[in-house]
Amino acid sequence: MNYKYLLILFISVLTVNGCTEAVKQTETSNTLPDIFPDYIGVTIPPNIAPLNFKVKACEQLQVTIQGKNETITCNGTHKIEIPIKKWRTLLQNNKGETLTVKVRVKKRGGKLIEYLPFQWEVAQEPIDSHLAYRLIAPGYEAWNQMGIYQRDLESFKEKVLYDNTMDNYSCINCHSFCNQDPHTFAFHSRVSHNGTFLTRNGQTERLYMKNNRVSGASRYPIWHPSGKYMAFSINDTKQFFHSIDKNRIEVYDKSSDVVIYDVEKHCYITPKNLMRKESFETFPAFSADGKTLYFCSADSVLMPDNYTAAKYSLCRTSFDPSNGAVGNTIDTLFNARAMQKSVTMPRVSPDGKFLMLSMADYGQFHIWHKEADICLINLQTGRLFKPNNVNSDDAESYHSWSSNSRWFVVASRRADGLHSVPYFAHIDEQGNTSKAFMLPQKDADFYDYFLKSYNIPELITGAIEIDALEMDHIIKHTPETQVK
Amino acid sequence: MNNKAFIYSKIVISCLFYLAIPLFYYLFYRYHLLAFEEYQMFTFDAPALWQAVSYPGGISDYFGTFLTSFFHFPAGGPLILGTLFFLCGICISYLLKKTQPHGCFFAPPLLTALLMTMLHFNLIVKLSSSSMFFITLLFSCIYVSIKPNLYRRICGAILLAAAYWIGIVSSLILLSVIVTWEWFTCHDRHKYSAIGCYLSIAIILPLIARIITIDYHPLTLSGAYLGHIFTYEKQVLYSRFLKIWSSPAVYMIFLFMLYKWRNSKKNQVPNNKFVFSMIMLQLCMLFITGYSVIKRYEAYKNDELFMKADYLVKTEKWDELIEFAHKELPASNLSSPYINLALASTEKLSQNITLYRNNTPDMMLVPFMQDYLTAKILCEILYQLGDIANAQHMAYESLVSTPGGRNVYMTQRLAQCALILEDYLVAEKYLKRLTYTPVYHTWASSYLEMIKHPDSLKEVEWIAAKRKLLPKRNEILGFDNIVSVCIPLINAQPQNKLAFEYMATSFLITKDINNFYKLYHSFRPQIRPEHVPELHQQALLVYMNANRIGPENYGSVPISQKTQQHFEKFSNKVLQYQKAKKEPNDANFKREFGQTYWYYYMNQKQ
Repeated sequence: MNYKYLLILFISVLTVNGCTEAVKQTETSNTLPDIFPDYIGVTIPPNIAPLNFKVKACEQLQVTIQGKNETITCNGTHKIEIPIKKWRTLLQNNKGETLTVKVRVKKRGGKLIEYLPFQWEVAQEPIDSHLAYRLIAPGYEAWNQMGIYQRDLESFKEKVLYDNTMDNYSCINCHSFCNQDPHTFAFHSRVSHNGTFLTRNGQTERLYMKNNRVSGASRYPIWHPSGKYMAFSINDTKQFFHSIDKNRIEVYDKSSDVVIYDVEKHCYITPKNLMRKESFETFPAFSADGKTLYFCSADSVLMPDNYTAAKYSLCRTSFDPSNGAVGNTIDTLFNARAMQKSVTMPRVSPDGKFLMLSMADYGQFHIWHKEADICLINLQTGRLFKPNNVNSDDAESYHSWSSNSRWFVVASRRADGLHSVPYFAHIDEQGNTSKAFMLPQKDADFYDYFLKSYNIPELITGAIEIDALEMDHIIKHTPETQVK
Repeated sequence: MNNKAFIYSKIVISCLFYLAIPLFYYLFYRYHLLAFEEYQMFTFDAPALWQAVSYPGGISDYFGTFLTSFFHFPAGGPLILGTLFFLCGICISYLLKKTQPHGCFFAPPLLTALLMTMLHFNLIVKLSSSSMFFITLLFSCIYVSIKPNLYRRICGAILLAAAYWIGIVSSLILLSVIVTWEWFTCHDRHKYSAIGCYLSIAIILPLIARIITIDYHPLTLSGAYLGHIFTYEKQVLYSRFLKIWSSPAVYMIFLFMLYKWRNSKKNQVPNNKFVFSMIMLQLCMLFITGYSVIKRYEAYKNDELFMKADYLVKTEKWDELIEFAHKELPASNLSSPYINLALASTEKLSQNITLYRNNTPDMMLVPFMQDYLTAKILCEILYQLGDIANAQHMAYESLVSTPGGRNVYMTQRLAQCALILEDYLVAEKYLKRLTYTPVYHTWASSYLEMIKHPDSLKEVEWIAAKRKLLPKRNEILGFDNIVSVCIPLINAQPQNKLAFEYMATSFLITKDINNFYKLYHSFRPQIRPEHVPELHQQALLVYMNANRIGPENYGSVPISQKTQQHFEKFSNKVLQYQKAKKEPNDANFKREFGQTYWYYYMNQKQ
């Protein structure tokens, strides 16, 4: 062995060590790191998947997540991928505690910066384990590939439930679950193999919902907590496009009514006071006890000329679960018109304490309204409030509750102004909400290259056990039942 | 026949043939290939690569898309296709040589290349199918080149699985080659069990793919199961499989059978008579196939003219498009809006209302048929007009309607629209995607950098020009007719020449001279006061005459003495005809006044 080489090797090792020492000399910044997704100061469920993130304009990244007893350290170039097993242990051991996240980066040019640490509060209450949604390009009129998917929120596993490429690119929409139950759900399929598909007790029915008792196709569905009824709105929906506006598209109804569908008798209940010509009734929702039916209502105006005059208020009426009868009197719970606002998509928390809705300047389809925000009504006090830490400058629209009422999900376009992404937030019994956080992904760059919208995010308590091929078979081979 | 002479002729014919293919594509099919580039979005990044390898068929799709992205360059498509066919030809030659070393068969690779040429006339056929075919041929060559039975069979099984994952149908092509080879060349006792194993693998592979991919990849559902292909794409599969993809095995079987029939032993040199008859047979087949290719091309010739118009619009070569329309007017109605756009862009549309097939306002815009082509045409027109919101709408429709949902050109257009509309978050998203493409990388990177300092975008010429044209007031927009599109644009920017041209043309065509006069009066002085086209003067005279405004009151309307005299002559002639109770549309009258707006106004039926 040549001693010369040994000497070179020895010097090299020393040099490398020397470099490592130099790396450790970091500058401290008094600012928070610029991370994406913005997970700074969020409250997270103890069963959520790792919150992987990236730091803009950096060459090397080191993140330390410190809990009560354990610490996870992750390294990456500009993004980190937190080891899932260690993450789960960390969260389970830190329920109700705070995690401290320290970010150290090496900027271009070799500058090392340690930012101010930030916190993640780990809530005691878990979130429902799965999220069901439709993935679709946020288009105008035409569509191509779309599908209903479910994501395991405790990991990064996503499963396709149904993809329209299997059925001649038909349109599938408005999936809805009864009490967040993955075994009881409904969705519509249009174009080929038309119908509303309703699954419960392991059986699926294909319903033909049009008949002479209702004026059009059934659209926005909601289940009664008993699973015996569903409420639908029947909408004559149109759209137009803005020439120069912050909002691209305006979706409006020329007419709309609310009807009840009796799941067991396969028939409609058509309450006259929910089908008035002089008003647009839409977006029904049942209370947690099933004895109240909420819906949104606006005075009917000539559309589309008066599209900004369509101001939807929140109304309610009584509902008798024994026979599906709707009360004769209608109360206005929140008069949005008086505030020059419009509210839609009411959803009552499973504990019956809060009602969440979407509020914008006008109209009922707030997905395309940048000013749309989420609002909450405390059903015990009747107080309406806007959770500012959940809302953004862009559209917050569709939302759903976790079965324990402590979490909710909101579809928001805040990330890029076009593609809707689910954001989760915690809410306590007093109605205090935490800052909303984006659906975590394994790859922190995911939202840079993903060009679809998460449409109708619905929290569900477990996985839907039907796979795509079974669903395909169901859609194509289930005989049609005419709704009476 | 002299063996050397035969070999040299074979080489010369093949070389000429493989040079002729790219040349043919370049001369007669270039614009199709240029358009074909749009219908993909190859990105060279880890997620795309991972997605490609994660489902059966993804790799050939990825490879095909990569090659297609170079169709952006006029010579790119012809060269890539020519090379691909050449490589396929080499593989087929190798397979045939292995089948029959002293064969005199030079035509099979050429026949396959001709059939592939014909296949690629259809824009629906992706390059992935040809790249998949090439990869499979390569696998077949590897398989037949291994001599020891055991190693060859193990390798065959691995290749079969790989071929399935790379291109799905590839496994069928490879399977047909393997079974043929095993059947005719192997004589050991394991021959039938080997064939049985291969068939079992081919059946099991889709089932494994199902287990692996069912839950996460929707494309798997349309790609992993041969059953699905047979259900939904059987027409395509039958035509492609029977004509092209099965050809290596068919050629091999033919050779094996032929030589068996002739009772000749392997390595025996065939006699001259046999060689001559085979050469003649092959020449006949080549001639028939070549003739079919030409006949097939005829069906796409008109489309090629449309594609040329499309390319000239894309590159904003207006004069070239007008010249092209003069020489070879494309038969497709879809070309008319493009020609009208070129005319309007050069301020020639309203002066030439009787030319081309633009004599209805419908020919200025196409109805949106919820497909990528009409959406693209509308997008181009609306973008040029400065109606960026509607152009963005149509660009998105075109992107979404493109088979596969990927369209690099429309993604670029969407980025442009977002930059103009100062929608920087959306622009950033599209630009980031484009930075991963081989062709649009530089363009996207430069704007991605500029987005960080939005003020710098104001200095960009095309952005500043388009922003100047944006409507000032929000309106509910549609694009049912050109006038409704143009009104807000011309109100926002009276110097919008294109909007003026389209509106003026529409009014002239529909004989709405009152609105033409109003438009002219309000906007023409702001566009080009010094020059009034002859046809416009004639139309204005019609208005003056209809409203009994005498020459003394023409005021600011600049009508030349010559036009006034010409009109007087026309009026007198019409009076003469009326006195004689005749219609003023005979040949003499037409010769003299046929090119005037007065004649059009009087005789053109609406």
